[in-house]
Amino acid sequence: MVSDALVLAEIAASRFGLGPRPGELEQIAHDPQGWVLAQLDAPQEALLGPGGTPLPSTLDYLERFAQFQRDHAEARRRMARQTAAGGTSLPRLSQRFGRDMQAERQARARQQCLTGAPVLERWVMFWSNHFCVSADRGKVVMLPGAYEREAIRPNITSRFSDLLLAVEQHPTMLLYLENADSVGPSSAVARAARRRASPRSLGLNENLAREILELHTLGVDGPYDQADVVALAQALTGWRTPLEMPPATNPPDLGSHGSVFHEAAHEPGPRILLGQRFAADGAGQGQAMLRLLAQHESTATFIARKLAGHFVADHPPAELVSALARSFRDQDGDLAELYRTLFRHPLAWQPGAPKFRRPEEFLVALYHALDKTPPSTGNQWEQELRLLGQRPFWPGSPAGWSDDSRDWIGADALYRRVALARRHGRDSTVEPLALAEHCLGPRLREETAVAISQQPPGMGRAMVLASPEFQWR
Amino acid sequence: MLNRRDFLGRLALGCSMWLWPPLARAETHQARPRLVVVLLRGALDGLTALPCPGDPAYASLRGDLAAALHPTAPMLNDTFALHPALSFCHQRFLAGDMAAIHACGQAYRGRSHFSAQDCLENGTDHPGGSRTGWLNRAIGEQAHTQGISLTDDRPLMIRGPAPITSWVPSPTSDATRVLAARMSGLYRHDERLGPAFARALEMQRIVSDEVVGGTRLEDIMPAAGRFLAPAEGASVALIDDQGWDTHARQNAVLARKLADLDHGLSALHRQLGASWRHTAVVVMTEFGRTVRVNGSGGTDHGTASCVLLAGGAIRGGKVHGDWPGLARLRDNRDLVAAQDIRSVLKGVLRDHLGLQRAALDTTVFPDSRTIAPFEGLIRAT
Repeated sequence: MVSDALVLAEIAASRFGLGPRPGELEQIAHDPQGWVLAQLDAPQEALLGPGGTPLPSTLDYLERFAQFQRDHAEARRRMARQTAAGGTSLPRLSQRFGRDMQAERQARARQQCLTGAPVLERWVMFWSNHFCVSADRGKVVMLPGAYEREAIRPNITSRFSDLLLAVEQHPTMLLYLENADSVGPSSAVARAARRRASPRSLGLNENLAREILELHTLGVDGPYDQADVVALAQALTGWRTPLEMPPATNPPDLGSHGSVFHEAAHEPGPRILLGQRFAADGAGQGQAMLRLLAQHESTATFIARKLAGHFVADHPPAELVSALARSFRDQDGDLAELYRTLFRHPLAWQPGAPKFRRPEEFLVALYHALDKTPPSTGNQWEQELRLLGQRPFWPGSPAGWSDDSRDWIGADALYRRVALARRHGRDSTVEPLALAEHCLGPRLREETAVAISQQPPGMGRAMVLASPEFQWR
Repeated sequence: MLNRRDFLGRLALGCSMWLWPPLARAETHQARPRLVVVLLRGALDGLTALPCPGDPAYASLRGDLAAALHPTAPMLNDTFALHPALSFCHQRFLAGDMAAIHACGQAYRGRSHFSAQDCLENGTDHPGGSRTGWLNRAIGEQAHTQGISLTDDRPLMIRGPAPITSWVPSPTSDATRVLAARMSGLYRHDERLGPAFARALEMQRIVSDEVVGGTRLEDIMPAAGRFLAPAEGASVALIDDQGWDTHARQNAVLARKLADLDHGLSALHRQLGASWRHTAVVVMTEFGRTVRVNGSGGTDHGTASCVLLAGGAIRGGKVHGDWPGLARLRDNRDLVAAQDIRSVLKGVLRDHLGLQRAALDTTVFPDSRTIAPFEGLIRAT
């Protein structure tokens, strides 16, 4: 006889958390909903690098990157002066920051595997993917970890508008979506360039503005047109990082993580977004526009649909989506209230494990099940996730990783999970059926249990982790 | 005779022996065309793969790079030679089923790898022009064409609504194979995962006899051959490779990389067997490199590079296309682009796979009516 409390405990741990650890389901079963809700008030946990040292800030990284650029420029000048061709011994970007990137990945993996508040960690993953940056562009290769620590983590239980402003003003986002290169066509910088007949083309870059509207707030079907994209892009001109600033300028800060407002690159003047007029106000104009977008009805619906699709089902019940949208709107984008609405809704607790675990979710759940922790050094986490097809910090598109199970279920993807399960199953000592019961709970099928019990222990453990049940949440 | 592993594989599959549903009966008598797209990421230096010793400006502009390369590179005609590491290619060139087109470029004229690869994969003239890839859309145009991607991630070129299988060598072992076989019964009860798991076992059966450990082209390309060789199954494959961005010590790096490509093509040829006759391989890169050598024995980001074509379906033994020469360079640094890569791809897709011009101009390569398919790349059958 399966107890309802255990069914709900498994849903709490797998659907809303990162998968049960040994013995955890019985504890959660005392009050599954309470276990989830209590974590919303858990204190922030700081991520640490190798040896327990703090990780660098974005500003630290930007300074090192600027130095890296200066070193290379100097080396190029030196070589141009020499007649004989000689190689440069300077490291390339990925070599220079390789160790930093490794430390960032391992620190994040350790947090996911060790956290006392896996429910909060899931929201970090959700918002990082919603406000996605990808390390595939040179300048941001070492930044996504710091971006998540600075812009996402401190804001996951604030208001959506706070999160939105933190993200869009962060240097990583400004570099990733090229706003740092965007210059108002009638700004002082553009006019000076035209006088010099500069060969470098200076102008508006709409990339960030378009993705804010399409991916971050209103959604691709939202009520905006090209004129709105241009208006927002113009308002965001001058939102830059220290990397683009000419020497001896001292621009005011933008946000609190190293971005600046470069007045001379800003397109002056009032403008209209979604029918609303915004007076000229320097950086304040773009900030006011973001606040408008954060409160928009379409944003409420877009976010509600996306998070129900992420946590509950690829095609979530319309009733749940509208309850979430209502909460978002009525509570002025209060995210903790939004999460409570989800966690208190009966439709969020229906059994059936309808979502296929994405590779990262699968790997963290596997570590939880085996009570394992990734080391703070080395590169194992990245190797494993690349094998599974979800390279850390590398979604490769501003749209982020897909949240549709169909995009992840493939022959090759399943076979790789078998290979990885085999490796981890071999290296553990836990009793296979105990492992199955504590990580699958009541979802363990009789036939699977029988098959497991017929294997030698290493193979039995691998079979638990590679079982069809373990692939779902 | 079946060995034990085959037997297990068949059990797992029930009655179906095939990865993909069989083609309609009428079409099985006709050999289906195979297409292999090889994307070299990082910008292959076209003047190293396909040097032009016959161009009067070549030796002086290329300096040390040309001096070290020229003496051993076999000439293809009065103008062009082939890099000495491409010995299989040269052999096929002489046999008439390898060709090249020089000075191929894109509408995008910037020099960012990211943006250029984005364009080359999304099939439009600007970065971000589409969230799906042209190869996916091309496959979607044809009812019975099945694609497979032998790439690490799911690159943009194959993303989109048409289902494309992916495969990369897994760190497999006998133990993994045994485990997978023992789990096939459990997966049969999962209607959402069952078919994919059965396909995994079948794919493993196709490639497992050969140790496919590495991720070099010479490891991946024969695996592509195994998937494409059977009478029924996948007919389009994508392969990509990193590490072609040669800012330093270019001759040494490219000698190694081109040898890997050549071995890969040779192994693909061997695996395809009789199917080579129906195959077209297109090797391309996002842009070319500067004509002059930089201070570290390499070259920097440029404009146009070469496209290599191989396979029994190719009208080979020839360097196709216009040659702009090196007398005039773009921005006084790059080989001028004389043909759009999309024109080459359109020519292959139309004449080899049979895609309609209208679909090529609008769906596969949106808004590209002005770019005509390159004529004469495919042998008449």
